[in-house]
Amino acid sequence: MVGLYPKYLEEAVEMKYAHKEAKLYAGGTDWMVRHAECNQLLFLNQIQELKVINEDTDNIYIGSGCTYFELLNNDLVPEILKEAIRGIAAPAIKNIGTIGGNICNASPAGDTLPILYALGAKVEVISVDKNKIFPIEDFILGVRKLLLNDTEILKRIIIQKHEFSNTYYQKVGARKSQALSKASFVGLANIQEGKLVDLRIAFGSVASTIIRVKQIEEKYIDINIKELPSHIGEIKADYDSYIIPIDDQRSTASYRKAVCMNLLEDFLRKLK
Amino acid sequence: MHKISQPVIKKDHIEKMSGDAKYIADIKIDDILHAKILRSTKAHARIVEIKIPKLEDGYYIVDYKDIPGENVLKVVTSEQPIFAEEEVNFIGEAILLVAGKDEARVQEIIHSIEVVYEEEKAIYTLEDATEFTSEYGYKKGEAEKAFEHAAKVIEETFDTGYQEQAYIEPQGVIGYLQDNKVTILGSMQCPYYVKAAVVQVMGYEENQVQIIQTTTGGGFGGKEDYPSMLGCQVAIATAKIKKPIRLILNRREDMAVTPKRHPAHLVYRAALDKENNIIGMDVEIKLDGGAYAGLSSVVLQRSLITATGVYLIPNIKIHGKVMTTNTVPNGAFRGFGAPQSLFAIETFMVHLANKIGLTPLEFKEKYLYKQGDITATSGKLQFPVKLPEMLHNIEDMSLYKRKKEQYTNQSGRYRKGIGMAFFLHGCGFTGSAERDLIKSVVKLVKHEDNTLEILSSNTDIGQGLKTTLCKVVAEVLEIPLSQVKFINPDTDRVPNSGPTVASRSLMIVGKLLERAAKRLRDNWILNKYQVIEEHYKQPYMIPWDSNTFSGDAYPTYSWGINVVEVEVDTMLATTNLLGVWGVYDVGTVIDQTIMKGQMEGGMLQGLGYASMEKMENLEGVIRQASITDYTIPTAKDTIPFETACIDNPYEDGPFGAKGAGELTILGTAPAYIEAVEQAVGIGINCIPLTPEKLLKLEKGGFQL
Repeated sequence: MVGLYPKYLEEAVEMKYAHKEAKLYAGGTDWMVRHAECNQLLFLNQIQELKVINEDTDNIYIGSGCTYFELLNNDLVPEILKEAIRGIAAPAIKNIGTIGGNICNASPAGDTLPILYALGAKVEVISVDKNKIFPIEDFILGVRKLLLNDTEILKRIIIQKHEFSNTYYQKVGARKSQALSKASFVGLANIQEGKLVDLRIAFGSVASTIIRVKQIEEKYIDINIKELPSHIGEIKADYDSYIIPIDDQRSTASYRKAVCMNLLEDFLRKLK
Repeated sequence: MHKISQPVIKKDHIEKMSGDAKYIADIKIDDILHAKILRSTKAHARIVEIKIPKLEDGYYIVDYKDIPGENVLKVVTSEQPIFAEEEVNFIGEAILLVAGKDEARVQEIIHSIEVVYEEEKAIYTLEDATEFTSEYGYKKGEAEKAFEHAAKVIEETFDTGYQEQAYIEPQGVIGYLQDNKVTILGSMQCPYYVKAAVVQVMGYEENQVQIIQTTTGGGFGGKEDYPSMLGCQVAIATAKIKKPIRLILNRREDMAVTPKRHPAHLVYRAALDKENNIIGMDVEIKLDGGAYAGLSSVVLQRSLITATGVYLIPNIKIHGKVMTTNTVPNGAFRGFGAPQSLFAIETFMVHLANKIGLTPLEFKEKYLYKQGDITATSGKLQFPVKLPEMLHNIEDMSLYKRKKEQYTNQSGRYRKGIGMAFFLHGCGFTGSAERDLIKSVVKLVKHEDNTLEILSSNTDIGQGLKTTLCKVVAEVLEIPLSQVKFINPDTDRVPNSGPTVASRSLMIVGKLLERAAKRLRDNWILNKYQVIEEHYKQPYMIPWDSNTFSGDAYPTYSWGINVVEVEVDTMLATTNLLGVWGVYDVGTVIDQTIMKGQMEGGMLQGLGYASMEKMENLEGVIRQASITDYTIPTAKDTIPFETACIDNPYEDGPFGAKGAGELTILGTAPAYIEAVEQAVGIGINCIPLTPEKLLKLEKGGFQL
C-alpha cells in the first residue's frame, strides 16, 4: 500500500487529482475499524489549513481536520455541538477523530451530524480548480454516500452564527461511552414575545440519513408558546412517517421510535 | 485483619505495567507460518465437496485426514471433531486449516475455497430443541407430597441470555515440532487439559507433548476448554508441515466461535402452606448447550445444585437438561451455571414475597441457611454460616431497609429502586472429583541459593494467583515474598496440580503449598537443593453420590450479599447506578487488593450480565460478535462500589482461604433486577434487561 502525505491543502488536492483512487484518511478511527482494503491512502492529518477554526461577522468556519478535542477546546464552537462531541467514544478517539471524518463517514449514527443539520451547517469542498459550498443535507446522500467526487476534499464546515434560547440534545446509546447511538435527538428553538420564531429538530440513527424536516418546523413558526402543548400530538403525528428506524444488532425499531417521540415531546414541553 | 491479607505489589505487576510481558501474539519465531481456519457457514449440513484452488509452494491445507490419532476434542467426554469430516453442526465449526508465510495470502486462500453443502434442518433455540446431551435430577424430602398438600402453588419462568467472557486477549496458540515432540505455547487456563487433548488427537505418548502457558490476558472460564481445540489444530498442522505454526483468533472470530455462558430457561414452582410458608420447591432447568456437549454437563450440575440458593427448603425436586442446538457450543464462564439459577431463585423469592405481602428481605430471612443445616443435596453445612453478620454489615453500608420503604409508589420521569441478593458458591469441584479425578500434585523446590520455586500447573490469568500462592509459601516460611517465584507453567517442568477453574486454585493448590512449605520449614537445610512434593487429601465430607446427587456437593461454601440501588429514566428506559454494595465471606482474604479487584470486577460483570450485555443468536449467527456491538460496561457506566469481607477462616484452605473468584459475579444481577422492578413497578423475569426489553414490558410506554 502507498501512503501520500501532503503538508498543504493545495498539495493535497493536486495529489488527489493525480491519484483519484486514493482514499482520504483523516483520524482513521472509522477506517481502522473497518479494515477497508485499498492501495493508496492520502493522509490529511498534517495539513494545518484543515485545523483552522475562525469566524467573520456572520459565520464560524471549522476546518475538517479538527479533532474532537480541538473542537472542545475552542471558544468559537457552538456549545450544542460540544455537547454532542462530549458523548463521542472515549478520550483516545477524541484525540484523533475529526469532524470531517465524522461527516464523510456518512453514518446515520454520526454524533455531530444531527447538530450540524439542525444548525443549518454548510460544507465547503475543494478541488484543484474550484471550491463548492452546499448544505450538509445535500452533501450526505445516504449511508456512506457523499456528493464528493474523486478529485475533491472536504475543506471546512460553515455554521451561521445564531443564538438559541432553547437547546436540547440527547444521545441514546447502549452505554455511557464507547457506544454508537441507537437514536439521537436535537431540538433548537427561539421564542420571542411568547411566540415560537425559530424551530429546528433533527433525529439521528432512525433512517438512512439524519432526519430534519423543514416544512414541519415552518408549520409551527409564529405559534404562541402557550398553545404549543395542545399541538404536541399533531407534531408527533407529523414526524411519524419520517422516523423509520430498523431492527439491528444494537436496538429495535420500536424502541428507537418510542424514545424519539418521547424526546420530541419532552423538548416541546420544556420550551419557554 | 490477618497479616497475610495486607496487600503487596503483584508478582507480575512490573512486567505487565512496563509492557515487557509477552502475550502469545508478541512471541516471534523465525519462519513461522500463519494459520487460519476455514469454518462452516451452515448451521447443519452435510459437506458434499470442498473445492480447493491449486496452492503455490509454501501454502498448506490441513484437515481431518492429517490427524494421526482420534479426530475428536477431549473435554469431559469427547464429541466435537477437530476438523469436520462429513457433517457440520454449527456456524463456525472448523473444517480445515490453511497455513502459509503471508497472513493476508492465507486469508485469501480461505476465501477462495468453496464448500458445497447439503443443508439439513437446524435447531436454533431452546424452545425448539428436543435432543439433549445430559440430564440430571435429584430430590430432598417429599416434594410431590408437599405440592399435593399445598394451599397455593406459584409458578414462574425465567430466561437468561448468553454472556461473552470478553477477555482482553483473544485466544491463540503457537506450535512447533522438535525431535518428534510437539510443543504448544498459548493463552490458557489449563495446560494439562490441552496436553490430554493433544495426546489423544496425535496418538502420541505423554512425553511427546509439551504445553507452555504464555502470559494470559484474562480467561473468565473462556480459556478452560477452547485452547485445547486450538492446541490440537496447531499440533496436527505443525506435525504435518514440520514448521512452527501460529494460530491467533481475531476478535470477531473469537466472539463468534468460542464458548459462552449458556442461555437458560428455568421453571420454578413453589408450594406454600396456609400461612404462606414454602413447603416445597420444584425446579426445571434447561441450558442451551449448543452443538456439542463440551463442559455443559458439569455446568448443568452446578446450576442444579445451586437451584435453591441460600435457602433451606424442606422438600425439593430439581431436574435439568442440556439441550442440543445448531449453535456455537457453550462452556465455562465465571459462576459456571450458578448465575442462571441464582438470578432465578433470588428473583422468584422477591416475587413470592410481593405476592404474599412481605418485604423481600423479611421473606428471605425466614429461610436463610445456618450452620448445621441440611443442604439441597442432603449434605451438611459443617462450617459457620455468617449471613446474619454479613446482613448487618451490608444494611449499615447501604441503608437498604430504609430505602426499600422510601421508594414506593413513585411517578415522574426518574424513579428509584433498591434490591438485595444473597448467594453462595460451592468451592472447587463437585463431590469427590478432586480426589478421584484431579489428584493434584504440587512441588515446592528450594534451590541452592535458598530461593524457592513453586511448580504447579495452575495459571495466573490476571486473577493474581502468582502473588497469592507465593504469599502463602513466604508467609509459612517467614521469608520475603521476593524469595519465592512462580513462573508460567510448562508441563515438562510442573506436575499436574489440576486446572485453573472452579475457584479451586488458591483454596486447593494453595493448601498443598501451605503443607509443602511447612514440611520444608521443618526440614530446611541451608544452601541445599530440596524438593517437597504434596498430594491432595480430601477433607471430611459426607460422601457424594453422583447418581442421586446426594451428599456434600462441595467441601465448603463461600457466601455473599449484594445491594444495588438504581434510578430508572422512564423516558428512555435506561438506568443509572446510584449505589452498589457487596459483603463477602471468602474465609481469609489472602490479599486485600487482589480481593478488591475480584469483588469490583465480578460485581460489574454481573451488572453487565443483568443489563447491557446482550448477545443474540439469529439462525445460528452471533449477532453481536464485536466489542462495538456487544457492550460491556465502561468506566463511565459504573460508580465506586463499597465492598467488605468478613473473617471466617476455613480449616482446609491455606491460612483459612476459600474460593473467591466466581462468587463475586453471582449477586449483582438479581439485586439489580429487584431494584429496577421496584422503581418501575413491574415484574421482570429475564436478563439481560435492556432498555428495549424494559420498554416492551411496559407496553405503550411509561406514564410520565
